[in-house]
Amino acid sequence: MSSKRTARKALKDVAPKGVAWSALGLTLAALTGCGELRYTRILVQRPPASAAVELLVPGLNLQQCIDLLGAPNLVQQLANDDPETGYLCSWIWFKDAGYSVQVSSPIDSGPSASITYASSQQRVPSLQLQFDYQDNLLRFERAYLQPEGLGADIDRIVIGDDD
Amino acid sequence: MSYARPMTKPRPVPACASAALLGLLLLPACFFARTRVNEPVEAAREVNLPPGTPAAEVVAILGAPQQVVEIGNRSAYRYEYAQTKRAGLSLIVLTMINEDTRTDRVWAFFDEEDRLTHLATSFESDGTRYKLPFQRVE
Repeated sequence: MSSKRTARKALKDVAPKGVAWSALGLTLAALTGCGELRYTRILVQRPPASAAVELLVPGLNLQQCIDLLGAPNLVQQLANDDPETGYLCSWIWFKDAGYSVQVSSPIDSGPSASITYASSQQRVPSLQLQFDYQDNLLRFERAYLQPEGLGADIDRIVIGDDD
Repeated sequence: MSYARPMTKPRPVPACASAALLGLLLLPACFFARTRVNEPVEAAREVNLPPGTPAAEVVAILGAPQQVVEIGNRSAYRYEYAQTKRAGLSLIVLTMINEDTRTDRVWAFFDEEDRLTHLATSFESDGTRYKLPFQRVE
């Protein structure tokens, strides 16, 4: 009989099956202090109904667009130097899901370490409608915004043709 | 004469009892939380604000806006109430969290003389749900 098999048999004699499972459980419980696998799903708002978006055509007025889509999330003037310039209404929603892994060392004295890995996309989809100063819809499009730019930098929002 | 009890085979635990016990053990691992930002804009639901209403009257009814946006010589006031519901399940080293945020939004558009031209309302915060990440949301 090999020494490995002898050792296994000896361990089996002194430690029944339940003890092995308990040891595994205790090890996992101890790990909770220094490691975590997290799965997070974030939902913010919902996209406008496709049926409503299909009814959008340039020339509709603001009231008609509000009746179709409801209240926007953002309203922004397009240029500060010309008061007659139109404005932009944006409907914004966000859905993201991703894993993050965190491993850290909970040592009070001495060196401590923490490693975090996360997978998620940081693009915010939106539906943007551009109106002229007479509240007529000029164009609309779906576009992605950067979260840090929301409401702060309208120059980064590029309006394309509705087709 | 022997007083020793006869050896009896232990009775197996019923499966439903085991499942119930496991369920009870998992319960402390669940958590729920709700966050609200601002007060609900209930007045916008209850009061009729027709076009032509002065901005001062709109503010008296709806309160101070969260944001005022200039649109040329006109303006738009934003009112928003947000509700977030979080549900999570934590199992030893694995944690699953779902976060759902929806808002009630009111935009009041005013002309050059600060009279209401359009009132846009969306009340969606009631649709926020406690769900776990693997549960379907509509």
